[in-house]
Parts: sequence; C-alpha cells; structure tokens
Amino acid sequence: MQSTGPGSAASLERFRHEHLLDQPLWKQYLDYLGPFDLSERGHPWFGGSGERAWGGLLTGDLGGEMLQPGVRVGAQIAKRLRITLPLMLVSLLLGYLIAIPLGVFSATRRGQRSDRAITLATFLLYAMPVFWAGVLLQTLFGRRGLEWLPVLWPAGAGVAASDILLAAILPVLCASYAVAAYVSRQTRASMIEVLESDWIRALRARGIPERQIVWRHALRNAAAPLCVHLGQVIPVLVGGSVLIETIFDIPGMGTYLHRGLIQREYDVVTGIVLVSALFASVGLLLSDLLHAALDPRIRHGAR
Amino acid sequence: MARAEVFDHERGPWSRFAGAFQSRKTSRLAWRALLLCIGLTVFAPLLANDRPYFAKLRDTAGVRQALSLLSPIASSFVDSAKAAAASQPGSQATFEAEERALASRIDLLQGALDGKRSPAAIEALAALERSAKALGEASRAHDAARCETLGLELSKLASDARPTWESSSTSADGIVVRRSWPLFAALTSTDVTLIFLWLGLAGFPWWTRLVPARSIRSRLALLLVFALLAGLLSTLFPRGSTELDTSLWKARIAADAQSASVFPPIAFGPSETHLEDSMQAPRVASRHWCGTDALGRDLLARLLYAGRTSFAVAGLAAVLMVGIGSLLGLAAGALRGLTDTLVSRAIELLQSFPTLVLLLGLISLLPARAANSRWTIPLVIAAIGWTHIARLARAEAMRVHEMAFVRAATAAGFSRARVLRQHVLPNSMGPVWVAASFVLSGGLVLESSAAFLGFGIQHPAPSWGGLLADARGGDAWWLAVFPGLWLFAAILSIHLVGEGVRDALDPRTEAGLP
Repeated sequence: MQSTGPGSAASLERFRHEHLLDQPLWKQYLDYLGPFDLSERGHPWFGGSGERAWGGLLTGDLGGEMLQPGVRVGAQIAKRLRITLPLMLVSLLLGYLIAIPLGVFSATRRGQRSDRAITLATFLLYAMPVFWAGVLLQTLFGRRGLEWLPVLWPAGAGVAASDILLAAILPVLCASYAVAAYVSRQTRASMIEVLESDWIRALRARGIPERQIVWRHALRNAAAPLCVHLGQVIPVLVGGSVLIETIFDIPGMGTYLHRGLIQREYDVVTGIVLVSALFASVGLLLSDLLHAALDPRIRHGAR
Repeated sequence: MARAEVFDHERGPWSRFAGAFQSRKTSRLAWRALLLCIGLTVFAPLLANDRPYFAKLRDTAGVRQALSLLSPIASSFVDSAKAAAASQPGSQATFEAEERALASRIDLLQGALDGKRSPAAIEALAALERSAKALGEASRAHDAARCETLGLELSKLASDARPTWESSSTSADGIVVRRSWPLFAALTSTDVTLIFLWLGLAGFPWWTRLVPARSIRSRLALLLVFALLAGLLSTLFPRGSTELDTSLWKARIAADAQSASVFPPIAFGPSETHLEDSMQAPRVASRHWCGTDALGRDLLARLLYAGRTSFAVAGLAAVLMVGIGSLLGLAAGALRGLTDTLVSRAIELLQSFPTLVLLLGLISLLPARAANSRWTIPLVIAAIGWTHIARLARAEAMRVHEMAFVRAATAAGFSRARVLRQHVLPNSMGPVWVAASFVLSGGLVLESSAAFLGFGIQHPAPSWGGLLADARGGDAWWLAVFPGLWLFAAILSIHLVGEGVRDALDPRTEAGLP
C-alpha cells in the first residue's frame, strides 16, 4: 500500500477516525443519536474542538454521506421526497378510486359472471409481484415494444413538465394496481357482509331505491374497515416504491436507498429506514383517525 | 366425496383435514400445480445439466496431457531424490511427496491405457515405475552416485513415454473406453433426499395404502426418515470423477469421435456460457427453448436452478417464521404478563417498518459472506416476518386459554407445561396453519424482491428475482416474461393452497365436518 495520498494506510486511518469507524458501536450509536457530536470536531465535553458541537438525530440531523463529505442525508431525502411523495399519493388515490367502485360493483352482482371475472382478475393481480409487473410494463412499452411511453425517467435538469408527467404514468400504474387489487377485494368482502345485514333488508322493505341503499347506506358502513387497511397499504407502498423507482430509474427516495445499500452508506440507509417507518406510522395514525371519523362507535368508545 | 372416504377410516384430525382439503377441486388443482412447480426445481439437475446421463468415451486429451506432464514431474522427483540422498535439511518431505505424485500419475495412466492395444506404452510405464522405485531405494540408502545414474535413466524414460505411445499406430485406440454416469455421480446427497421427499409427497395417496402405519403424521415421519436414509445411502456410491480430465463434459465428448452419450432434455448447466449465442429469442427449433441471456446462458436451465434457491430460502424462512411466531405468540397469549408486553411491543415495533426496507437495511449490515448465504437470508426474513403469525397465535391462544376445557385441565391438576402443550397449543394452531401458506408466498416475494435489487443470494447461483433483474430496461421480452411467470405461478398456487387449507379448517364449511 502507498504511504501517502488517497488510499494509503494513513488516509484510510484518518477516514476511519473522522467517521468514528474505529470507535465502539455504542459510541457510534450515541453520536448518531445526538445531541452531542462525538467526533474530533465535536462537543468540547467529549474531547472535541467544539467546531461542530451539536449533531445527530435529536437535532434533526440524519448524518452525512461518507464518500461525498458535503452532502447531508436529510436534505437529500427531502429533495427526493418531492418526487417520491407525489408519486405515492397519486398511486394511492388512483388505487382507491379504481378499487372502491369495482368492489361495490362486484359485491352487488355477487355470484354473477361479471363478479366472478372481477374477483379472478383482482386475485391474479394481487398475487402478481410488483417488480414483475414493472418489468413487463417496461418491456411492453419500451423501445422493443409499442414505444408509446417513456420507460425511464428523463435525466438531467430543465426537463419539461409534460415529459415528467408522461414518464410518471407507468410507475403510477405499477404502484396502484396492487393497491387497487387489494382494496377492491376488501371492499367486496365488507360490502357483502353489510348488504346481507338485516337493516339493509329493512331499508329495501321501505322501498328506498337500490342505488341509494348501496352507495349511501351500505358503502358508508363498509368504508370503516377499509380505513384500517389504509394502514397496511402504506408500508407496502413504501417498500414497493424502492422496487418501482429502481426499475424506472426515478431519482426518488427508493433509488437513494438502493445506492446507499450498494455503497454501504450507513447514514443513508438508516435515515431512509427511519423516514419510511415514520410514513408507515403516520399512515397507521391516519387510518385510525379516519376510522374514528367514519365510525361513531369507535369515536365514543362503545363497548 | 369418494376421495374423502379414502381417508375417513383413519378418523384422526389430520385425515379429516386431508379429506376436507381434497374434496375441493381448486385445492386439488392448486396442490398439484405447487407440487409441479417445486418438482421441476427439485429435479432440476436431472432435467438441465451440462453432464450427460450416460457417457461412453475415451479420455484422449487427458492421457495426452498426463503423458506430457510425466517428464517435468519425473525431473522434479529426481531432483528431490538427489537432495534427499545428500541429506539436505527439509528435503525428505519434498522427496516423499514427489514420489507419491509420480506413482499416482503412473497408476492413473496404467489404468487409462489399454494393455492389449498399446503394449509398448504400458511397457514403458512399467519400466518407468521400476526405475522410480530403484531411485527411491537408492535415495533412502543415501547412495548419491547411484542416484545420479538412476536419475538420468528415469528422466530419459519419462521423456520417451509420450513418443512411445504416439508412435504406436493405434495410439488413439490405445485408451480404455470408459462407461460412466457423470450426471448421477454429481448428484449430492441433498439432491437425492429432496427427490425422494418430493416423490413421497407427490405419491402420498398411493404408497400410503401399502404401509400399515397408524396415522398420517407417522406416515409423514416415515417418509422423512426414508428420504434422509436415501440421501445418506447415496453418499456410499462413488462420488466425483476419477478421470484425468476435469474440463467440461461437452468439450470432451466433442473431442472424441467415437464417444456415445445421452444428455438431459435441456443439455445446459445453469452457468454454462456461450457468448456466441447471447441474447437469443426463444425458438422451438433452437435448443434454447426460453432463449438466452447476455452471456449466452440458457434461460430455462437457469430458471430451473433458480427455483431451488428461491424455494429453499422461502421454505426455510416460512418454517422459521411459523416456529418463532407461533411459539412467541402462544407464550404471549397464554402466559400474559411481562412476556405478553415484551412480545406485543416487539410485534408493534417490527410492524411499524416497511418490510422490504427493513430487510434491505438488515442485509446491508451483514458481513459480505453472510449476506450471500442460503442460511442467513431466511434467518433475516424470519426475524422480520414472524410478527404476523405471532399476532394470530397470540389472539387464538388468549381465546383458547379462557375456554372451559383448559380451565378443567388446570382444575384436574395437570401441570402448567402439560396444559399449554397438550391443550392450548394444538387447539390454537388453526389460524397459524392457514397463515403458514401465505407466509411462504410472502417469503418468496421478499426474497425475490431483495434478489431483484441485487441483495441476497448472489450470482452465479441464480434466483427468480435475480433473473428478472436482467430484464430491466425492457430489451428482451423473454427475460421478463419467463422468470416472472414461474414466480407468479408459484405464488398463485401457494395462495390457492392456502385458501384450501382455510376452508378445510373452517368448521362452518361442510367439508370441515367429520
């Protein structure tokens, strides 16, 4: 090994020392957690020079990339979330918008041919791995296929908004079909349960139009369990975004995680795992709040 | 219903379950599809291999190479013998090693050459052997002068061996024709065990009638023992190759005009590369039925072997998940108190992370060798995925634990362990068995997702997800369609089997009644 310059034993040692890689694990963890920076330039209480006294998770700092010293992980994630978050939200909305009418339609025609076709289709789609769907879409629309849509995200700065919208179609489709399949199966099941109940029969006996029964009375009661599923859909969506972004080369949080994993940028990986857990928790909280809003029995703590 | 009656005479819960499961057409079909999916991967070495089932060939290249190496080996033996004769320090061990090397080389050649067809070469080898023995004795007697003369003679004999063999008019015929079963010789005992296990499972309804065993459970145990025994026995048969040549079988067969061989239907190994055939689209006429990848590897062969990786990882992960999940869930549900608090908080903590992201994060923390192991990846998957089973088991154990028969058992004075093991455990496993099949497909998807992103089991051992990763960019439709289709079929049949299990265990469906 060389004695000086990049890659030498001395610079390797310095690199390890700067990133606390030569320190015991608990110290690295405390440094990551904060609020004191434990490195050489860290807080004077812990033998540092005091240049960067505070840092770590408790100060809202997710750390930095090792290979690119100036880059902060938190800022990068925030930048990339501006792509990932809209894609995820649109996929979620689209999934629910397709799924609920489909599930209701299927439930009202229970046992008929159209119901059986929809049930089979959603069963198949639900079992379809998301990365296979992505690769298939890419093959179908790619340069050896129909060539209708861009299959990779436009690279570089100053890309027109229309290009981005076009490039987003396939990823959104890919992320939403699984949501749609899952939610429509749940909608169908919970609608069937509601439609069989006595009070629906009572409404029918009173001569209320079927359309009004289904869409106003039954759906509102069937919707409450669906909110619970929202909490399960969001983590799946976050996990799926890693796959989808890697397939379509979208510069979002998923590809950042992928790069972090390959380059062993531990701060990147930890940061994204934390942020995605935060999303999942927010999703759970949201589903609980929605559930309470829709179902007065939950709100008032009925026993 | 006729099918259900086959099992009815046994009257155990297992046979009732089997009968109920078999009475549904979808379940039967799904079970067969799953068996086919697994069977194709279990039999992969017999279906796709670069070794032939049977080969009759002469090792021309091997003999040629061995003969040409004879001279250098002999000269280093002479040198070491001289050094040993002069009692140089440390020379004795080298001398003995060189002596063994030369002797084994001569042995191999004597076995490979046909005594009737090339008597001159055999004679030359025998002379060489005698001379080597004499030199060895001289060296042990520390007779340096004799070593010198014998060494010269030995070197000359060794360098003459090849010309002697080649000058005989029938040199190529002078090699023994060997009959061998290279493919079967290369099967490992794991392969044999798996094949027997699969055969036993697939033919369960047929062979099971011949065995006077009591219950389905003891028959399954019998099957397991039998398969393990078969695997053990297979280690007794000669392993590996005793040939001189270790190059690819196909090259050896092509080199010998008079060889005869029977290859498997897909005559390609999973890592066999043919750069000249890269990126070929599938054609029935060509020998690559599913096309080839960028390195010219046969996709179908890779698919078959990939299934082994995927099923092995997913199966092991599912077993671990069911084991860990049901144990912890039962403990939490039946014991309550601190155990319950710990397990429940652990479940909530793990479930608040998106599974795939957490899996990738954990894999990145593993050292490089562990991250590529068939044992650690299932462990990591199980460490994340046990929560679903644990939740179900906990809820069921809590319900069962409050039921009258458990209280009666406690009141009868049975020990706590006995109540838990014999009363709570068997009665709260229903939902766990239903979830087990979904856990298997979940493991399959997780492993494939990780492999698709380039983590988990690495090349050259393929897995379905890893094969799909090659299809990114969408330039070759066959690379995208076939691996995914197989994965999809496996997941689908597992789901359907799971639904069948659920319906068979559900007391509300008629089939579930005894």
